[in-house]
Amino acid sequence: MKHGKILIADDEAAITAGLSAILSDEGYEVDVATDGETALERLSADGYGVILADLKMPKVDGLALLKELAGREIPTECIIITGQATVDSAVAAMRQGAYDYIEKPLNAEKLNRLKALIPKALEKFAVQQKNRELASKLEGLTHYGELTGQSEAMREVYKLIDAVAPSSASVLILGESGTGKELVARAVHQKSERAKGPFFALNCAALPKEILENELFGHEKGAFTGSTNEKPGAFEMASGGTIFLDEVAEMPPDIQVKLLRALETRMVRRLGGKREIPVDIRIVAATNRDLQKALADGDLREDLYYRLAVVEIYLPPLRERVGDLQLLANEFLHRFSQQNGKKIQGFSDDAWEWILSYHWPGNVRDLKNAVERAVVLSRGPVIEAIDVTPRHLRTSGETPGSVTIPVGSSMADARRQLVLRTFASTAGDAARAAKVLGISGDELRAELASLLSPNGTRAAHGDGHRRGDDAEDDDSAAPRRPHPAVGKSAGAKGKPKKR
Amino acid sequence: MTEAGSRAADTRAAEARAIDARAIEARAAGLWLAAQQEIARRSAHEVKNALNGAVVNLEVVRARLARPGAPAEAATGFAETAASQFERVTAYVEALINLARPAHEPADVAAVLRSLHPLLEAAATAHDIQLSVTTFEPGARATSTDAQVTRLVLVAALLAATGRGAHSAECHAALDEEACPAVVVVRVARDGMPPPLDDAVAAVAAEAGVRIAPAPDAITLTFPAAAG
Repeated sequence: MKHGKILIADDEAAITAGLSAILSDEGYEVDVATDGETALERLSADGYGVILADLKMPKVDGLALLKELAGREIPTECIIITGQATVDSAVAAMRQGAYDYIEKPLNAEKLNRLKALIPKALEKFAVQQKNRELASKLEGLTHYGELTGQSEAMREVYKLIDAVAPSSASVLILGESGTGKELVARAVHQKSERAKGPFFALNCAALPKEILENELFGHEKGAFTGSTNEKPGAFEMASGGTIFLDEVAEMPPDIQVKLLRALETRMVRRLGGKREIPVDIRIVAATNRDLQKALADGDLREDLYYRLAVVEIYLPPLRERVGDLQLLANEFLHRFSQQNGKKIQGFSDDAWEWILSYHWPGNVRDLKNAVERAVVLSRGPVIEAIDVTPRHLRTSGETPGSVTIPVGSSMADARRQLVLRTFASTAGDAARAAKVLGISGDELRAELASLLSPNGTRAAHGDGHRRGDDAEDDDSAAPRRPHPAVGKSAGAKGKPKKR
Repeated sequence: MTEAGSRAADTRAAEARAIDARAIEARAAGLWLAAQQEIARRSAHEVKNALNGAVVNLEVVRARLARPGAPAEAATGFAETAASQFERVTAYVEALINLARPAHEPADVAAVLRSLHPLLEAAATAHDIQLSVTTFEPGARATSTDAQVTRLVLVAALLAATGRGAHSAECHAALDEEACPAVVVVRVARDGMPPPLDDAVAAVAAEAGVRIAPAPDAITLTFPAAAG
C-alpha cells in the first residue's frame, strides 16, 4: 500500500465508487464523503493528505470547503474536480489554495493526469506536515497556552501547570500585577478535566464587599431591598468548572470565612437563603500581595491561605525573565502592527537597549502597552527608543537608580550593568550617556554593540546573570511566599527605575 | 354595411388575429429559447455527472480487465454502474433533443412533462431540490393552447418552483371534468413561497388563454382542454 490517505468528496455514488476503485488499485487508502459537510467532519477527525472535491456539492460546496479548511487550519491538499462551465470557479479555488483542478468528464487522459498529480500533492502535504511539526515543537519551546516565554523561570511555571492541572488541588498564583496570573489560571483550567466546564474570573479588589458576596454566593428573591429575582452566584454558575479569584488577599475578612466554609464543605448558601447548594468547583486564586505581610497583618486568614495554596505557582516579574523580553516585544510588535495595519520591520538598536535595560515595573502588561503605543505612534518602519520610552521618563530627566553589584560579579558584569543603566537613564541618548560614563561615544557604541550581539545578549541576560539581578531586586515589590525559606521583602515601591 | 364591406371587415379582423397570433408566437419563441438555455445551464452538472460516472467506471473496467489473469468479476459491478450511467446520459440527451424539436399540435400537457422530466429533475438538483412529477398516461390532457406556449409556461413554472429556497417541489396535472368547458389544471407546489412567474411569460400565457393563479406555496396553471 502506498503511503497517503485520500478523501473523495462527491455526491455522485457512481463517480465516488469508480474513483475509489481506481485509487485503491493504485495502492492508496481511500475514503468517501457524500457532501462537503461530511468531508469537513472527516478531515477534522482524521488526517488526509489529499482531498478530491467536486466543486458542486450539497450543503458545503467545493469553494466553501476550501474556505473552511483554511479557516479551521485543517492540513490537506485539495484537488478540485469541476465541470467545464465552472472553470472560473476552479480558478477561484486555486486562488483560495487548492492544489490543482481537473475538468470533467474524467476520461483516461484526465485520470492519468490525476494519478500523476496525487503523489506530488501527497509529497507537498508530507513536507508541510513536517514543517508544521517543527513549528509546533518550536512554538512549544516559547509558548504555553496564552502564555509566552522561554526563560527557565517560565518553563518551571509550565511544568508546574502541567503537573497540577489534572488534579483537583486548589492553586494559588503569586505574582506582581501584569505578570499574567489570569493567563496561568486559564491554562490550569484548560489543561484540567474541567476544561469543558465554565471558567469564572472575579477580581476581589474591584468589587465592594456586598457586591462581591452577592457575586460569589448569589441571593434569593427578597434577600435585600431591590432583589426582585433570585440570582445564582459564581460558585453555582461555575459548578463543574473553575473559579479564578484574583487579588484574593483583598477579600474582606467575613467573606473569607464564607469562602473557607464553601471550600471545606463544597456547599454554598445564597444570601437570604436557607438551603445548602452543592457545588463542584476548583478554586484558583491569585495575589500580588506580599503574603507574609498579609498574613501577619491579618489581611488574609491563615486557614484560608492553607486551603487555597495547596499548590503555589510563582510567576516571576518581567525583570526576572529578561531572556523573554525580545520574544515578548517581537510578538507584541507583530500583533499590534497587524491590528493597526502598519508594516513595521522591528526595533532600532537603541529601542532594544531601552527594552532590555528598563525594569518594566508593570511587567508584561507594561511592555505590551509600551509596544502598542509605539506601534500606534510610530511613523517610520522601525520603532525607535523614544517611541517605547514612557512619557514621564522622557521629560523628567530622572536620575538613574542605583546599581547593585553582588559580590562575586565579574568586572565585565559590573561594567555591563553600569553602561546599560546609564544608557537607559538617558532614554537612549548615546552622547549624554557617554558623557555621564566618562567614555567616548565610540566606546559606548562598541560596548552597546557587544551587548546587543547574540553572545553579548545571552551573557547579559542569561540565567547565570539573572541570579545577580534577583539579589538586586530584593528591594522590589515582588510577592513572597510566606515560608521561612524565602527572604523577607522590604516592599519598597518607588518611581519607575531602570535596571 | 354592404356585403362587400362586411367581408372586408371580416378579412381585416382575421388578418389582425393572425398578426396577433404571430406576435405571440414570436415572443413565445424568444422566451422558449431563454428557457432552454436556463434548463441546459441548470442541468449541466447532472448531465456531466452521469457522463463522468460512466467514463470513470469504464476506466475501472478497462484497467482491471487489462491485468493479466484478472477475473471478470472484478470488473462486473463497475460495468453495470457504467451501463446505468449511460442510460442516465441517454435520457438527458433525449430530453435535450425534445427541447429543440418543434412542439406538436395539439399540445398534450402530460406528454410535454414526461418528455422534459429528466432535464427538469436535473435542473432542480442544481439547487438541491427534489422534484417529483406525477406520472400519468398522456392522451387525455390535450389543450387547445398553442403548443409552443404550453410547454413554455410549464417549463417556466417548474423552473420558478425549483429555484433557490426550497427542498422539494411537486408537479401534478389533472383534467378537471367538472369545469365547463373542461380544463387541464397543473399545480406546481413546493415547500416554500415560489418566486412569481416571469412577467413576459405570464403575459404570453394570458394572451394564449392560460390562467395563472399564484398561491403561497404553489402556482396553478389552467389550460383550456382541447375539443373532443
